[in-house]
Amino acid sequence: MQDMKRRDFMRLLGATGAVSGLTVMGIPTSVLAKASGKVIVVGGGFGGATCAQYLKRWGPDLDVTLIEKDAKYVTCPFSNIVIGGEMSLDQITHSYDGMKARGIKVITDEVTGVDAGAKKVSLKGGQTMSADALVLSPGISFRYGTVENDDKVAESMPHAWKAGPQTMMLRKQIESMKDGGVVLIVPPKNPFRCPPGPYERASLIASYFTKNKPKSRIIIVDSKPKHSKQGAFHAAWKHVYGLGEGKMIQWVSGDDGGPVIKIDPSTMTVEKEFGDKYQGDVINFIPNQKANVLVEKAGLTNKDGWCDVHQNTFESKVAKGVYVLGDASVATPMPKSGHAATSQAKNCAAAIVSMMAGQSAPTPTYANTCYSLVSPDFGISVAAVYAFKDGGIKKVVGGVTPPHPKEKDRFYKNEAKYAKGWYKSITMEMFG
Amino acid sequence: MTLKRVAHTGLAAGLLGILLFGGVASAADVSRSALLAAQCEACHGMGGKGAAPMPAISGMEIADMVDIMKAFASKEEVSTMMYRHAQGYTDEELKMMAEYLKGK
Repeated sequence: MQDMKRRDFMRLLGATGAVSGLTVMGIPTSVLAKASGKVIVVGGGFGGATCAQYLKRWGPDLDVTLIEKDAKYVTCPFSNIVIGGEMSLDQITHSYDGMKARGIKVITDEVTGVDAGAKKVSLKGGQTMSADALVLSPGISFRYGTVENDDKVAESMPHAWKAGPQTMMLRKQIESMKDGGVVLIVPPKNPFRCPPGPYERASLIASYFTKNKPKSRIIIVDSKPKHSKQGAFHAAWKHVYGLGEGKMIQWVSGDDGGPVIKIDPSTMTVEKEFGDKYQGDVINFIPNQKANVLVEKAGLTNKDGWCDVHQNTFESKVAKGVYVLGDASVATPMPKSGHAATSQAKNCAAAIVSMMAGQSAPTPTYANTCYSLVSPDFGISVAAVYAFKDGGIKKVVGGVTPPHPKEKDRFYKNEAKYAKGWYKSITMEMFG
Repeated sequence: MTLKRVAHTGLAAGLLGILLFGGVASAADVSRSALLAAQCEACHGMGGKGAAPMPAISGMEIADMVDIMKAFASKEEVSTMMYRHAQGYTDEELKMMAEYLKGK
């Protein structure tokens, strides 16, 4: 609008004069500025599904299309409970029918190419589509080649970091492991999807072991010197399972032997930089990560492999009218969590709807709520509120559940209950 | 319709609002109140109508909502998580959320 010419301005005034007559006849002015246009959303996960829903909710006249490669979506949140055997994969699988009923067009196909300049996508099925605004919420890809053999072990050492068949593969390996066996969990380096995920996973496998294979152990072979919700997790592990060498859960810091540099499926070992080796009966190797290759190939990533965005609208810093949400984007200090992606999606939807109605977007506001289950009846959490200041997202306030004081069991029991409420609410918001 | 034309139409309506009502017309169905309340809806259900055991927060009196949020923030009212959220908003923001959710 900055390049608007005087002629255009005069024409607008003319238009204003003409429509003011309508107002007199009782037609509200708001009707004239409804958001209209076409938006394509790529990726039907926490960021994409929420964005599509809110685009339609706040801009009912928008033509919203969601493109997702799978007909049904399996959530990463709560997939650790499936690995622990307390829930089935069906219980965390969602259809897009609710979204269709709300007037969102859902296309089940894989986007194979993005022409960011033209806001155009090509689909595996052969179709190409373009839009006035393109929202990409593609999630992560693995950064293969950073740990020796990391591209060869998806079956022998399932990552289970994209929920679905991988989740069940890991579940089955743990189920068929003999009592007294050792599970190694190898978390990735920062940044990665769901920072507390590997530690919740250790917890829920320990919960399964306590009930079914009490002599078995879990060793977390970390490359990092510290991890998400560390104080709360370690206090809870000590209390519930036992923590340390020879106990049910052992955490090996990145400071102890350096980062993991090699995995060997033939000997089922994990090797650290200074030569320490760990052997497991089951190994959950979670590779290092970057933004999905789709956005990498589209030229939307920075030198670190993630997408720089204007953090108020989530519009890409390198492609106008193209928005990147969720794990693929740089939204620091927000973590790469499902909830964070939904909060970003709401701000992005507000920005697009406002733009398409020719208005300025409301001032952004973001929140993150992330529960982790130490056991099915023991929850901990991190929560934070963020604001947009000085051109970026800044944390206003937030924190982690206080480490476990024994007398406050009810607190953690309630957090576990609320974790389930969170899951129900947020998936309803996405798919309802 | 091109984006530029959409923007122009929007500007026309904006001007119209200013001319007729002396203020900026809020035409899209999104406001700061809706965006703030959308952060609540993630856990408390669409329209704040609840998702058990997450309590419903729709239809509350504005003063009551602001009061309980401030009590969470000061920890006068015990909560597992809500104090960490409530501390993140100004009184004005709490009021905007409350106004939006009251109408749901």
